[in-house]
Amino acid sequence: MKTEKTSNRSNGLIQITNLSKFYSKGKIRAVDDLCLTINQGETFGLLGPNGAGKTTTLRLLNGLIKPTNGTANINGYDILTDSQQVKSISGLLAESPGVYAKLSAYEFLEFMGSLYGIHKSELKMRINELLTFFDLLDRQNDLIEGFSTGMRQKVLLASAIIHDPEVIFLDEPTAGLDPRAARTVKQLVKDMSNRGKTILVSSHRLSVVDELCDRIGIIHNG
Amino acid sequence: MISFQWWTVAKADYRMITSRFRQFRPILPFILGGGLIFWIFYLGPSLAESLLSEMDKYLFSLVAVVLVQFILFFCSLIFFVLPMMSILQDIRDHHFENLFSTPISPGNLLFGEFLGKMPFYATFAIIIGSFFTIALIPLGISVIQVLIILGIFILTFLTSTWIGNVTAVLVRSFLMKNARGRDIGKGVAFLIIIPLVVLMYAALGGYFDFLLDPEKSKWFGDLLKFFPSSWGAEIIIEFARSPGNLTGINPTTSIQVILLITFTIVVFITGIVFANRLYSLELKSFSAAKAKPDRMFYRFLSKLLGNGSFAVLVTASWKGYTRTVRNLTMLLYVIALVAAMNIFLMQPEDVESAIVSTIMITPLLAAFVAGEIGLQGKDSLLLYKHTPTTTFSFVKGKLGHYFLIILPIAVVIGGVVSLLVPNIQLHELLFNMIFQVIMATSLTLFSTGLFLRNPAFHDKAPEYMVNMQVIIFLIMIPFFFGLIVLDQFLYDTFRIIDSFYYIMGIVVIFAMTLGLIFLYIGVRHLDRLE
Repeated sequence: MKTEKTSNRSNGLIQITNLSKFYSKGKIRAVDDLCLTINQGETFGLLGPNGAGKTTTLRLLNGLIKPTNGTANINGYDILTDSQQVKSISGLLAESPGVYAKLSAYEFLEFMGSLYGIHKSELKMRINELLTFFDLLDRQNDLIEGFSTGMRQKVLLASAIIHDPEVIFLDEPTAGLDPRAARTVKQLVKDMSNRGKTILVSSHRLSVVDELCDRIGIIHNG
Repeated sequence: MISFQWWTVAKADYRMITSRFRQFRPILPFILGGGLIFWIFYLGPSLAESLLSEMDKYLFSLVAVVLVQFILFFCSLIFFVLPMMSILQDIRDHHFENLFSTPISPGNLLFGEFLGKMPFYATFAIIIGSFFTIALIPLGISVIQVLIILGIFILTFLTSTWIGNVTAVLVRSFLMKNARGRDIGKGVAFLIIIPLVVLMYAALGGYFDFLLDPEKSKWFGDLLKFFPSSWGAEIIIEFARSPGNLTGINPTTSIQVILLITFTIVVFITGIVFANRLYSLELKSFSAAKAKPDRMFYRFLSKLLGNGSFAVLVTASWKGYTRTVRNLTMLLYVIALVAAMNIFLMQPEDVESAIVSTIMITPLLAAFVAGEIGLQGKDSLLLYKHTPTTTFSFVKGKLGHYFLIILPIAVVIGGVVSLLVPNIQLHELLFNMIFQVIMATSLTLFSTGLFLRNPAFHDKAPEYMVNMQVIIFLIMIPFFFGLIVLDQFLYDTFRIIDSFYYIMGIVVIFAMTLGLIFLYIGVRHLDRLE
């Protein structure tokens, strides 16, 4: 365990207790006995080299995979027993997520929003808001297959926060982006932080977590 | 928690499938539905009326139940295998990571994806079913009977498709747990089509002609009754025998239809439950496949090729090819095709028929092997282009590797197929083997050149399919043209009676010339590739 210990464990919105994920019958320890508390409204940076266990930690916290040992509690919901609720109150921007390239940006956001159960009229407003923020309004009807990497990342980020989640997991959010797009993403993270959202940013770049995060934890070999 | 997520997924899937026709999306169901109604109730029956004689129609109405059972069974197999192939060929987990970060259950996702494609599956089922109804409408079957028959087809085929989807998705879930899963999935996709091809050749070879005889086919019909695809067959025949009569349906037939409907519902619910329980994004292992140190074969190969840079290029290319499961299953597919063709379709009676039975196989083999040249992506081709040894060394290395795979298989195929010919002479056996080697060499040059001139960077790219068709047809056309037209010409001009060997000589010269020209064009194009 290589993270900073929190002094305010009981107030944490995210409480991780002895979280472990082993593969190959325990030979590979992707995450090894991780304990961490992240407070409400805090932006926490998980820093580490490739293969350190950052993505696995985020996948565990989002309920995509199940831990070998330990558990975590997100806003009162246990990732083992309440994974659907955890997904409802959190948003994940995966490291290299796939998109429905044959959908337009609007259709994709409408699709993702519907999966979170957002009401149609509210969803329309939310999509317009996000498309405006990400400067994609005039491209909203273009198929995503024609988008650049940066534009795709913007659409994916918008889809991760379409339901205005309490907790946001961002895995390498600026990877593959040009400086301008990276600045937009960073600005968005700051805005969300100012609005009291709890954010967990995973990155191998010190400059990114240093700029965005209130606290940083270093993870290495799980 | 959140209901009707499957509807959201279905809508997105439908939108993706119809993304090419976005402007016409709202009217697409009407166009499709209108077209089908026109075909089923007007155009199809009119064609049947003009093409089928009264006797044909009468015979059709008496056709054995077992034949309909077999057709439904065979089509169900196709509906089962095709979605499996499509899903297994395209295994990606990133797409699911994004979706499963939302509160959607795997069952909802799977059912939604299926539902999005269902209008197209159903259309396909209706088209197949319509070939029955258009022949029966002139006999006087009612609109309700037509709709019931089409309903039976839809139920039968949708159930098969759903089972295929669930199976493929669960296999995909299992394969995604492994670093080589994607590759294995593509390999499996090629293997599962083999039984269908064998069945098709057997049907074409007359192995199922006994189905037309109710006495001889009784045991087969009894066997097929165990499969749900048969449960709707009897009602189709009853309608054919008593057109317009809805009241006199046999109680056993009605029970079978009820059984089919129940089975469909049970299968759909079971599929969703299975998906929810078994589908996961969990990785089983992080361990990557390790390359073993070069053993005797590679050391021998390297020595044989002179131990220089050419040897390194050939062995490296060979290693990359043979470590891909998809490539190996493609070779297996070609061999299975030859075997099925010669066992079921055309048992060679002389060396000429032996050559005819393999003429489609060699181009397919060459296209499958040489088609990989661009599949690593455009950047890989540019990488070689920017080396000081020039593109020629790269192409030479690739050709060396292709020859090492294609030529031995071509020799073995030529030899084995020739040995099936009764009383074959040694010189005939040698002729066929040499012919196969020369043709395989020419076609390898041709395929390599074509795939360099018109590179395919993905096996689903249109270029890949176009090149495959060009390679097969560009050789088959002169071959059959030679056999039909040149044969007559050689007889008329030179009074040559047995012109087969002359024609083969001309085909070989044509193929080799074509191969060399295309290789030159391909290398030139690679040099200019940007």
